[in-house]
Amino acid sequence: MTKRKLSRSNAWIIAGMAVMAIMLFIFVQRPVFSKTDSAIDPIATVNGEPVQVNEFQRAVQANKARVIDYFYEKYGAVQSASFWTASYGGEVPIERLKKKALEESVNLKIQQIIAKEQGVLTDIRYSVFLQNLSDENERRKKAIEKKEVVFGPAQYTEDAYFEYVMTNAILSVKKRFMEHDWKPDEHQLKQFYETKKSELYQAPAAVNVRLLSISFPKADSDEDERLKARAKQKIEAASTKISNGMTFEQAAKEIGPDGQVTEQSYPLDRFRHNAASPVAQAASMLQAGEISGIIEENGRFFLVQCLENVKAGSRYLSFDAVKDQALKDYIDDRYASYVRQRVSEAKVVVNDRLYKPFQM
Amino acid sequence: MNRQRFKKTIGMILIFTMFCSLVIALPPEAKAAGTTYYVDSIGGNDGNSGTSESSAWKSLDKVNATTFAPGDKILFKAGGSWNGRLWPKGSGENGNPIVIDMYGSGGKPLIAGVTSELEAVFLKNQQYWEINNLEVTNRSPLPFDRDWQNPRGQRRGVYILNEEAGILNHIYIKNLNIHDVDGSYTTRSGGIIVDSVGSTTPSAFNDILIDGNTLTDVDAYGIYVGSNCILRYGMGDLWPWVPKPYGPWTPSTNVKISNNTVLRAATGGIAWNVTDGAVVERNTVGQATYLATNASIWWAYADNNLVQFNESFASVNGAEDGHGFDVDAGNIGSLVQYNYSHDNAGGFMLFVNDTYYTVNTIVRYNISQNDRKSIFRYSGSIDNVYNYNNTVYVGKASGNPVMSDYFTKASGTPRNIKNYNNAYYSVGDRGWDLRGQTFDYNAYYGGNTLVRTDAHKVTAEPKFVNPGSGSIGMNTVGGYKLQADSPLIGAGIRINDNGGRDYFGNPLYNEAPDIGAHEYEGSVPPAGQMPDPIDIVPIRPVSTPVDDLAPLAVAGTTFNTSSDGPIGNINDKYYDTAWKTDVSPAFPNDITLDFGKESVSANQLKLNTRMGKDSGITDFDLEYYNGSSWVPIRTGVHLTWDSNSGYNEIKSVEFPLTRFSKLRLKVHDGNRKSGYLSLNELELYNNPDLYKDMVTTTFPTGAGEIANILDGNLNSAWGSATNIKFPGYITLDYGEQPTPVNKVTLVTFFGIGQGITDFDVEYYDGSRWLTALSGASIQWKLNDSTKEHQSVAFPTVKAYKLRLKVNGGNRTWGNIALNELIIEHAPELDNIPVTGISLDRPQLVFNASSDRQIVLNATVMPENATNKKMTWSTNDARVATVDEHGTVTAAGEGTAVITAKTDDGNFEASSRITVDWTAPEITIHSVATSVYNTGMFQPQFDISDKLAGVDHEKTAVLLDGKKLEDLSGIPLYLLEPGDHALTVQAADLAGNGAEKSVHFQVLTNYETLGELISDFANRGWIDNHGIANSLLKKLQNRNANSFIQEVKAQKGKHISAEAAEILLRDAGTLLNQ
Repeated sequence: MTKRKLSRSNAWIIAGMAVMAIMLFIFVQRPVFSKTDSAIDPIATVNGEPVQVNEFQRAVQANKARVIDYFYEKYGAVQSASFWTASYGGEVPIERLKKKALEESVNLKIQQIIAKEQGVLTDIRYSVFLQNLSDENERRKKAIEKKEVVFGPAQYTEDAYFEYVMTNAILSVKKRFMEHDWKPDEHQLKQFYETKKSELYQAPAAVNVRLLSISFPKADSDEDERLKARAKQKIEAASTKISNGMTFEQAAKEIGPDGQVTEQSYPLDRFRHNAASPVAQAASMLQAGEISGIIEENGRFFLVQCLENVKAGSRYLSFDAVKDQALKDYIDDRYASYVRQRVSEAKVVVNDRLYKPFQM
Repeated sequence: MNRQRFKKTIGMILIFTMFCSLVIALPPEAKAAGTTYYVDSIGGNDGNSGTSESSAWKSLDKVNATTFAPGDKILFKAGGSWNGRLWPKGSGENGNPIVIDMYGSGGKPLIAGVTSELEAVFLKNQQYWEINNLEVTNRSPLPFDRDWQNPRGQRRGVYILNEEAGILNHIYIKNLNIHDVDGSYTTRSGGIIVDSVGSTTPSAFNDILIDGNTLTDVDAYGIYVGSNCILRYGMGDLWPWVPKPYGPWTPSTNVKISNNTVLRAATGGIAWNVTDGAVVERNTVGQATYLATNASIWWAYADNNLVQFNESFASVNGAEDGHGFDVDAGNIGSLVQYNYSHDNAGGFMLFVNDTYYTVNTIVRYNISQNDRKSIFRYSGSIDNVYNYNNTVYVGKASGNPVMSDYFTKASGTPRNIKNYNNAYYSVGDRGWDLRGQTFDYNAYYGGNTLVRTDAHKVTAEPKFVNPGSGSIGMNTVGGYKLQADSPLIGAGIRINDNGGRDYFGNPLYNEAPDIGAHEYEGSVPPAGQMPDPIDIVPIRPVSTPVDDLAPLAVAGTTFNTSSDGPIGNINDKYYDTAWKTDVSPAFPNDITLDFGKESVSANQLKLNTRMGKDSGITDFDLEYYNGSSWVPIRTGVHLTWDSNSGYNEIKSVEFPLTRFSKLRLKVHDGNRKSGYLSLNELELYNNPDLYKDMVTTTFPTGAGEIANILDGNLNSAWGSATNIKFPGYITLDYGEQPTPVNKVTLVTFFGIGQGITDFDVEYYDGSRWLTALSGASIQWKLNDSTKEHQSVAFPTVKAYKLRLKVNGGNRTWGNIALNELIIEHAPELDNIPVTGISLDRPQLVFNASSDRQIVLNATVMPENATNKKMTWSTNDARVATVDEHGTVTAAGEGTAVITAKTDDGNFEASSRITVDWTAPEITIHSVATSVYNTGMFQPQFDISDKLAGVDHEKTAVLLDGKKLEDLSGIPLYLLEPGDHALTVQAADLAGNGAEKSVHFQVLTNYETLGELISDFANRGWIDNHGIANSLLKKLQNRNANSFIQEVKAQKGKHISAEAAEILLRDAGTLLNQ
């Protein structure tokens, strides 16, 4: 499976968001539905929580394209009346689809159970979700009529709202874990960074440079023009001295308070920024050790010395620079493995009476 | 403040409203009876007619092979699936679009893209299409990365391409479910891509609606409206995947992106470029930047953007940007309001610009909750931002963000960021970078939010309805409403044109304005006296690039100008102001650009007329003033104007690079449909692209381009290689129009090290090369970075080509260099004035031996001065006279001054004349202290000269004909006894010489010989006292023989050999006496 696919499964599992009060209110305020729900025969249960048929149906729909792709790519299977039930090299599309849909249903139900455990969701039955969707759309319609606050679509589709609600719930769950049970100490975080850096924190191709620069005022007057000319002379003198072996630091000292030496890294994939920056452009053309000519940019004259050309993937972003991101990734990662663990431990009871005869 | 000015925000809302009413008000046109086609992937057959459910087509191939007509419908059966690309052909028409939709019940029909095609649903150069209710995927088995050339290719779910097709209308994409689109890392990959490419024909869309779609797991973008027609304001390079050359900025109009849900886009969720009046509202964008840094909702190179009612949340990648909203490069006018931003990895609001302007951004009545990293980020040349009435909550989940950060970019620095009436509530943050920002009437609570300089700050607990941090409360935007006793109520300042409603829909204001996104709707105390409201004043970006030279000049005209269109409008840098004549203009008349004392070099004129078809100038001559008359540069210029719709239409007129201080268009005719002439802008450029090929050199180039010497920029130089040979040529080709030239200026830095020093100026007169100036030479004075100007002038020539034949140069480093070569025709130089005169001999002396006549040579500068005549004179004819050729004749002894004076300019040069024919006089007073051998040779003499004075260098003393170098005393015992001669030679400074001699004798006797014995004994030459006494005795006895014998006996023993020789010689003399 490709890396993208891995990311995709992570994509589903890893998420992050605050839960909407509206949803909470609705889950809380609708215990009445439990009566009617009991009448619905689930297609499976996960740790006792029902996966309802329409819920499974949603998962089937969500995985349909992937299964069609799979058989198209692997067997050249085209659409026909018998596509779903035909056997291709021993594989039957409907079976594969049902399996995928069930896996996804279980995975989602486990995440809903976790959310329930964490007090983020109170009632995780799909029928309740559908009722919430209907109520939410009704609320949106009325709110827009009354010019009240509604962000996002005027009306949510089932797909979009399901994605939206799950994303928010998972986000909220992670937030709780991050603030309490899973809060990593510095050491744990560093360790996470070390194990994941080749996957997550590769530095882009870049050129690291040392810059000697001297500022001059924006030319609003003849006097400013003179100051600019003087600054130019100073940097030209510095350029000559540097080419004769003087260090940037010493050259900056000789320039005086207007001069400064800085170090900078220009990622080469920032096309727009680099295209607009003469210094970045010059830097991108230098080889290690080379020194540029004098470059004017934004009220300063620059001399650029290439310290090193960093190839893509040859370096990592520093821990300090990505610490915030690493914390987020740590929680995401831990959540993903927690879900995997809970899925593997889940007690899944499939209702064969409904599952076996399920057809497209 | 004048409230009528620049009502941009209202304007934007008006445009939007008008757009809505247009849609509503469209008359129900009689639709052409379109055909409905059915497509059924299971039950269909391509052999069917397709026109009923029971005779449906089956395949995409069938659909793709059909050219549909206006009003047609293509309906795919619900639950059906198709692998491949859907690309139906044809276009609808206004009121009769072609519609794609589904029929039957069940899941949306699935179009599953295949790897052999980049897009699943495609339209190219088609218009009036509506695409509804499809499920679309487009997978790739390859992984995503940040390499834009990833072999996945730029895959899209739906791709609407306008390639050089001009303006295309009406593309509606609604209610699609697009997921799993695996494109590469570009702005042309993703779920729904609307793309304009107009390299030759400016291209864009009008009337785009992307509504109600759900997009999940889409790479790179969710929705992207892009274009390569981006050029304006000197816009530079974009991304490598955008096709070149770029076209002129041509915006898509009536773009609306609404009600879409975009989750897990690899980079940006929703983005749009090059639009005017885009409305982006009611979208949900979550977990954008899923695989690479970007921003959730961003826009660039777009004018008058309205972004509202969107929820943007949980962007994933905050390593670089990753904000919920991003007003990106080159946006003029953005209104961001009533949005909800939360949990974004990068922050709430990014302002970033690395090109021309990002100006006039208003961010108001938004709520940001738990955004991370940098709540506000300002980067590059951001100008004129108003953030007001936003509520920002930085909770625990925010981490520890900065409230704002600040970056300088090549484009400049952020400035004029004004913050009013915002509520900042924080449980922990790292504060603000306050550069470029001002704060007034804001509320600060917790963290490091407090801005002390805020003159009307509120720092009390804000009393939001639900300020807790529990599972509910702050997690609901309702929690950001104010309680009745909140200190934020009535604590803000009024803002004009505030949109009329708060975040929650309450009207503004309820008495005095509140701080934050909520305007408390309950009963409040009366406002009483309030400070003046804040007027939002947009700044007006200039239209012309910075290198436009015309604004440096004063514009004038001989046309009668209309009072509402002054001539100054043609060079005011703004396209939206125009010059207008009175009705029925007379011809010819002039439009003049006068640069005063300055001279500029230019080679390109641009005329922008928005209503050219009705009132554009069509025929003119281009002339410049040479100081006494107008000289044609180009005659018979004719322009054809196409526009009468108010859009910028810019015509370029190119001409040979010319230097002038006044330029005029002699206008002979124009389009007079409107009755008058108009011109929005007259731009003038020195465009190096136009003379890249105009200048060439035979020298090998070592550094810089030879074109640098003509680019008008003294800082850019050309340098030869170091292995050059002279002569070499630098040649300018003026093309078919001969150019008058009489002055060449070389500008060089480090001229002493690398300046051209010797050259001839040659020109091509149309048939052969001639010399305009030979043997020109330059002495460079500086060896530093100063751009030193050195000019040579010559009689005016008309050159088709001009070249410097370079014969020599300073080559400290091997190369020669030239920063700029300024070729001019300076009328004042046609009479080249004298600048000075010099004589070859500043002094002249006549003596007894010289000729009586000597010629003085005078040099008049410059060498090519027009009048080199001069007058010669003497100040004392008794001493010297001079004729008209500078021949000086000595007349008598004395001094005189001969002067040459130029007729032009009265410059003078003189030579001091001395006539001295008399030799110096020598008087010898004495020769020695004694005539005996015990004396010293010490000659005493005087030399005197009356006129020129003694030349002491020439004085010489000779003893017996031998020149003495040392005149200090010589003991006479060193001389042979007998006769000697002293000679003194002398000369005066005029060169006259004299000589005088005297004779003298050296004598000896027994007494003086005895004195020598004592002397020699003292010196140690006789080292035995007894022997000395014995010798003295012998001398006392006058016994010379005995003396001689003893000396001989002791010679080399007790008497040194030299002393013995002297004693023996002198004793011998005594014997002979």
